[in-house]
Amino acid sequence: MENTRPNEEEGRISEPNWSERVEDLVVAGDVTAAISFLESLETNLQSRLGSSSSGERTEFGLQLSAALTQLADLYSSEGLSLKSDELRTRSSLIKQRALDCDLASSRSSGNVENQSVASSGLKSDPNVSSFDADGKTEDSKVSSSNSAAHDSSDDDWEALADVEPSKLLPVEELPEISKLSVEEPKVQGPKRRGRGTFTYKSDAMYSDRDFSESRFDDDSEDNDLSRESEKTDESLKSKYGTRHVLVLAGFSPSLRTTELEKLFKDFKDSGFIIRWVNDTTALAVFKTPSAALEACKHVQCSFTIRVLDDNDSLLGSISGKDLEPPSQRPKTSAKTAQRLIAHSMGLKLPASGFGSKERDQEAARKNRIVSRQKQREDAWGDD
Amino acid sequence: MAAEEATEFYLRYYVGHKGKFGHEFLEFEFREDGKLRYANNSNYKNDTIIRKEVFLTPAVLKECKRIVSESEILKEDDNNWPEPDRVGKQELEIVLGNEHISFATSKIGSLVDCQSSNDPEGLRIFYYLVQDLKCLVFSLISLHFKIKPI
Repeated sequence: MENTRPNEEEGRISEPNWSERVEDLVVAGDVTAAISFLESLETNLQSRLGSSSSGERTEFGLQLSAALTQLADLYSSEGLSLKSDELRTRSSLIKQRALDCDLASSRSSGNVENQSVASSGLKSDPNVSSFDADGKTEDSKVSSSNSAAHDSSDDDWEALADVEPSKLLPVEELPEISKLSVEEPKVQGPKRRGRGTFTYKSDAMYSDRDFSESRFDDDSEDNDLSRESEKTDESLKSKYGTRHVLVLAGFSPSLRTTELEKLFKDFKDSGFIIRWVNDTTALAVFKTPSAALEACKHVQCSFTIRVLDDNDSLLGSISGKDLEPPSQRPKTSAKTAQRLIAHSMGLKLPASGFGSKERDQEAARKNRIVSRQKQREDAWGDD
Repeated sequence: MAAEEATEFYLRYYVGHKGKFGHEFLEFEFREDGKLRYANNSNYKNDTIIRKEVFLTPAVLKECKRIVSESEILKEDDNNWPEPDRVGKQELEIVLGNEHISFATSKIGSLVDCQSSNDPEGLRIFYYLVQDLKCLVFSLISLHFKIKPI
C-alpha cells in the first residue's frame, strides 16, 4: 500500500511534462534514454488505465496512444521498423478504444463501468506488467464478475470483421464496369467523315496520284509559257537583233558540241556559245554581229553556215533566251568555300587572310586621305 | 493502357495547288510502322521535287498521337469549312482508334480567314493543329537529314 501511493504521486507529477522531457532527451542526443523513459511511462499508464474511472480512463488512453506513437517514432529513427510498426498499431487501437469508451459513457453509466473493466482486462493481458501481483488480481476480477461483457466485446469484433468485406465489394465492381465501357467502342466499325481523300492503307501518297492530273494541267500551262516566251522573243529581237547569231545546219546527228566548238576555236577570245535547236541544227551565238560575220567568212566545213535573218523560218523554234549574247561568268572566289570547310572541320583559318583584307582597305583609305590633302596643298599652297 | 497501345494510327497532311509552276505541294504522312514520308515539290526557279523518308521511334509516334488527341480535331466536321479552290487545297486525313476522318478545305492565310468562315472554332482547331504538325515534321526532317541541323 505504501509503495502504491508514492508511485501514484510520481505518475501525476510526471504526466503533464513527459512529452517535454522526451523532447529534451532527444535534443540532447540521448535517444536510448528517451526510449527507456517512454517505456516506463507506458507501463505506468497501463497500470493507471486499469484502475481508473471512465473520464480518467479516456484521458489515460489518449495519453497512452500518444506515448506509443512517440515511442514508435523513436524506434523508427533508430532503424527498428518492426517494433515501430507494432507500436503504431497498438497506439491506433488504444486510441479507438478510448474514443469508443467516450461514446459508451455518454449512453449509460452502468454499461460504461462493465465495458471499461472488460476492455481494461483485454488491454492488460498482452502486456507483461512489472507488478505481477496487481496483474493477477485484475485478471481474477475480470474472470469472476463480467464474463457476459467479455462476450459482448467479442461480438463487436465479429461485427467489424463482417462489415469490412461488404464495403470492399462495390469498389471492386467499379473497375469491371469501366472495363466494360472501354470494350464497347471496339465493337463499332471504323467511321469515315469528311470530304477529303482516304488514302489509309495505300502505299501511294495523295500527291503521287495528282501527278497524272498535273500533267494535263501542265499542257495548258505550257501554252501560257509559250505565250510569255513569244513576248520575250520579240523584246530580245528588238534588243539584240539577230545578226550576231550563226545558223549551223545540215550536219550529222552524231556531231557533238565540242566538235562544233573546235570549228570556232580561233574566236574563243571574242566569246561565243553553242546552243542547240535540234539534232541537226545548232546556233553559234556571238557577242557582236561583226564577230559573227567574220567567223562565217573564215570557217569552212562540210555543212552550211549562215547568219540568222530577221525573217528566218527557224525563229519559230528558237526560244528568246537562246538569242542572248553570251555573258562572261562572274569572277569566282574560293574564300567562302574555304571558310565553310574550315569551320565544319573544326580548323582555324590563318588570321592573316582576314587581316590582310582589312589592312589593305585601311591602307587604301589612308592613301585617299593623303592624296586629297596633297591636292588641296597643290591648289592653295601658292597663296 | 493496353487498349491505347493497340490503337491504330495514321496521319497525312497535304497542302498544294496547281499554278504557274505546275503542281506545287507539301505532303507528309505518319504511318503505323513508324515511317514518316515527306514530299515537297516546287518548280520555282527550276527546283525539283524533294522526297524524304525516315523511321520514327515509338516515343515520337506517341507524342504525335498526343498532339492529335489533345487538339480534339476528331470531334470537328468540315461541312461548314471553305471548299478547296483555285488558290489551293488542304487535306488532313487521320486514323485514330475507330475514327477515320479526311477533312478538305482551302488554304488558310491567317486566323482572320478562320473568323470569317461559317465554323470559326473548328477551323481554328484545324489551323493550330496543322501548325503544330508542321513544326514537328520540319524539326524531324531537319534533325535527320541536315548536316548541321541546329
